[in-house]
Formats: sequence, C-alpha cells, structure tokens
Amino acid sequence: MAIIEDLHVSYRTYHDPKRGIRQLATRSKSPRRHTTVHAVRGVDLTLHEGEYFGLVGKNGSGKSTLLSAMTGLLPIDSGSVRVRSRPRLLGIGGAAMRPGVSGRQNLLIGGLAVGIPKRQMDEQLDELVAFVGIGDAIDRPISSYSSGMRARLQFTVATLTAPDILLVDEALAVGDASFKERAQDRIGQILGSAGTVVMVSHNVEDLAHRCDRVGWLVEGMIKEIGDPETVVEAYLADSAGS
Amino acid sequence: MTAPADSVQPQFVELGQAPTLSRYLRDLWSRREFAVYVPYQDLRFQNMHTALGQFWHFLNPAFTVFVYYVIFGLVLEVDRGVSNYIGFLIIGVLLYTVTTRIAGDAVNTMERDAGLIRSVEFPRALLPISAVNGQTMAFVPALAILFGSLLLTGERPSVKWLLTPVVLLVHYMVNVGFALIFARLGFGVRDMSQLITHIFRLMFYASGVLFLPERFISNPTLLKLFDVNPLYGVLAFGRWVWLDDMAMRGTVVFFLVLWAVVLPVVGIVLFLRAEYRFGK
Repeated sequence: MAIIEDLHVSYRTYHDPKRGIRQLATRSKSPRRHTTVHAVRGVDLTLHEGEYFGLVGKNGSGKSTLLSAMTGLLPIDSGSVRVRSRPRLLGIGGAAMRPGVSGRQNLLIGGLAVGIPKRQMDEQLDELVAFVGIGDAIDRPISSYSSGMRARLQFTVATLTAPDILLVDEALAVGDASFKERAQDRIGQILGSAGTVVMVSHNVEDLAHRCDRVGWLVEGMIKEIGDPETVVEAYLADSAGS
Repeated sequence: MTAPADSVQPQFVELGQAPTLSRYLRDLWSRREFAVYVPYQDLRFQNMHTALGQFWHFLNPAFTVFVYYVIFGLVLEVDRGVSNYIGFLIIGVLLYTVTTRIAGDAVNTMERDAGLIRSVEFPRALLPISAVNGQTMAFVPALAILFGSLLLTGERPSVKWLLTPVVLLVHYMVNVGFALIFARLGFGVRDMSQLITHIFRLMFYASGVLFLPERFISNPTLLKLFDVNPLYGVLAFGRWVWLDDMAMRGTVVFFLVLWAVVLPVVGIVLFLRAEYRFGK
C-alpha cells in the first residue's frame, strides 16, 4: 500500500521557440529558456493492499508524472509519498534492459538483479519463456524486437517477483489480446498476494469493469475518485462535452 | 533511546530517503550471483566475434608484457636501480592496467545500464561492483602470464608468494572503491569520461609503474605523495611479494590498508545518497 499526501511535482523543460529572421540578424541571444511545468498539484491518495486502482485523465493531466514521482524517479516539490518498498513502474516503450543480448538472457539477468538465485532462475526459465510467448525471437537480441514483443518481455521481468506496488502506464496497450489476458491473470496474482496495482490506460471501459477504484485527474488534481463505473462515466461525459 | 512513535508500521519509509547502510549491504549481498554471472557473460561476449575468441584474454597481457620487454629490456637496456627491472615493470603494468580498465568501465556504467536501472529494482552499486568483478576475472589469465614472466626473468617461488591472495584482495578493495567513486562522478558529470584518461595518465607516473620513486625523486614531500597513493601502495606491495629483493616501507603498508577500507566505504556511502537519482 501507499500513502500520498498533498503531493506537488513539477519539472523543468526547455522552451525553444522558432527563431525569426530578426533575431538571427541582430544576433540576439537565443530566446531559449526554461519553462516549469507544474504537473501534479496537490494529490492526496491512499492505495490499499490488494487494490486494483485505475487512473484516467486527458493527455497532459499529470498521470505519468504522478506515477514517475511514486517511483522516486522525479523529485517531489512538496508533500510525501510513503511506501513499504519502491513501486515498480512499467511504462510504454520503456527502456530495453540490455539491448544487445537475447530476450532469454535478459530474463535471466533481470531475475539475478532482483536477487532470485541462479538455480531457481534456470529451473523457471522455460516456463518464463513460454509466458513471454514470442517463440524463437526469445533468442534474438532485444534490439530487434517490436514494441509489442518488448512490452511482453518487460512485463514478465517486472513481475518476476510479486511487487508490493506495480504501476502500469499504458504498457499493455501494445500487447495483443492473448497477452493482455495473461497479463491480467498475473495482475490478479499480485493483487491476491496483497500487492497494489495502479493502471493508467485510455481503454477506460476496460478499467471500469476491472478496477476496484478509479481516480480522474484534471490538471494535476484529482477531480473525482471512487466507484469505477461512476467515475469513468463522468470522465467520458466530460470528454464528449469538450 | 525509545522507539519512534510511528514504529507501528516499521517498514514504511518516505520515498526518496536513502536506505540504511546495513539494508543496502544486505540487498547487495543477495544479488551476489548477478555480480559474478553477468560480468562473466560480458567477458565471453566481448571477444565472441573475433577470430581468436577467448584466447584474447591470454594474448592481451602477453602482448603487453612482450612490448614492454622489447622496449625496456632489449632496446633501452635500463635497470633503473632494480635488479629484475623487467619483472618490476611487468608487475606494475599489469596491476595498473586492471585499475585503469575498471575506472574506464565504471565511469560509463550507470549510463550504459540505464535500461536495466529503469526496468528492475536493485541496489545500483551492483553495477560498478560487477565491473570490478569482470576485470578481476579477466586478470586471472594475466596472472598466469605474470608468474610465467617472473620465472623467465629469474625469480624463484618463495614463501612470500603465499601472500598473493592478500595482494589481490587489497587491490580488489581499492578497485571497488575507485569503481564506486568514478561511477558516481561519471553519472553526475558526463565530462568525467573524457577527464579520466588524463587522470590515469598522471596516476601512471604518480604510482611508479615504470620506476622506483626513491631512486629518482629526492624531494621528500614529493616522495610522501607516493606513499599515500593507494595504487603506488598496491604496486609496491605486489613487487615486495613477488620480487626477491624489494623493500616495503611501513608508511606505505599503513596507507594501503587504510585506503583498502576507506575507499569502498566512501564509495558505498556516495551511492547510498544518490540511489534514487540514478536512472532519471
């Protein structure tokens, strides 16, 4: 579980407008400057053990920033996130673990990195390869993988040990139907062992019928939170209106 | 001291807080198989596409020794006040090369394995430590070449040779310290990967790889700088153990042991404090 209190997160990015002929002629300094994006503005959220939490919101509403802040990858401006162990984030097009080596080898390296004994990994490897389900490609370097294949491998690695909190940011969107089903089974197991899953998806109907609770983010603040059907309905009505 | 009030949920931590040292070390220890298996695989992978393959692990140190032998033994015919100068030189060059390689590896390691850092959760110090392990494994064939060269240059096995594991252990500890520190610096300051070449070229001379400082430097302050240099200490210790007639001063031993403990501790603490910053 996680307790988030009055969380504010902002990040700085370069603002690089097109330079006109006059700036070039007068050789004025580049108009490039920092812009601060205040992406999460005061979120309070308590996630429970065994809870499947869905997060909806328009592009740019702060969903991904909230998840990144929960893993500690983005510094927090103010407020706090308290967790038992660092949440695991599964993002779309996420980093390839070790692009040059095979998928099978990456599974093994990932397992050893989280502290699973080598003997146990060797025993489980065939089973894990079957779970990834990408056939012979498992022995090819992951730099040659499609985004869907990579997502399957990453999901498998991320759930090698049951995480306390798993954050899924659209990571299943690129998988095919059969993999999505298997991934949901695995998520079910995580929830069953008192884990928490936070799912960000634009497939909101799916969230509405799978999740225990759904939160709706608008401009970095939670607009509504609670019963999945109700929140998703309100969100869809709002999207249709604007 | 009494327990803090919120000890009801002892495992709850504020995100972004550095883990405790004992927890960190325990987490590292539980990943020890990674630190052995992964660098071993990397080593095998390195020469996979060359014609001579794994033989390179022997050929590299052998060629290094050969080149130094030709230049200093045959062409220049110097002894620089050391009875077995070729042996002296080979020990210096081979040991020094390991540390240079490790530092060069370490300075890029957090960048190179950013994918792994973002994908799975593990104490990040595992990566530079693995880099040290890889180079230490690669040193095993070099060690065979080293002993072969010593025998060829007239050294005979002595009781002191039994101290070989101690030399390797002290060297390993110093290397772990360097690797952690350079990996941390390399992550914060990208320019480190350029600077490191120059740092280690300077260190090459400041560690007495090619010469015995006592014979060439009369300024006592400058000589003291050699004594506090951990790499000079490793080289001096190795030469004392493996060569017949080398002396080793007490201050050198003192500083060497000190660094072998202090450098890894400093490195681990640096990592602890930056743990959440890696992978951004």
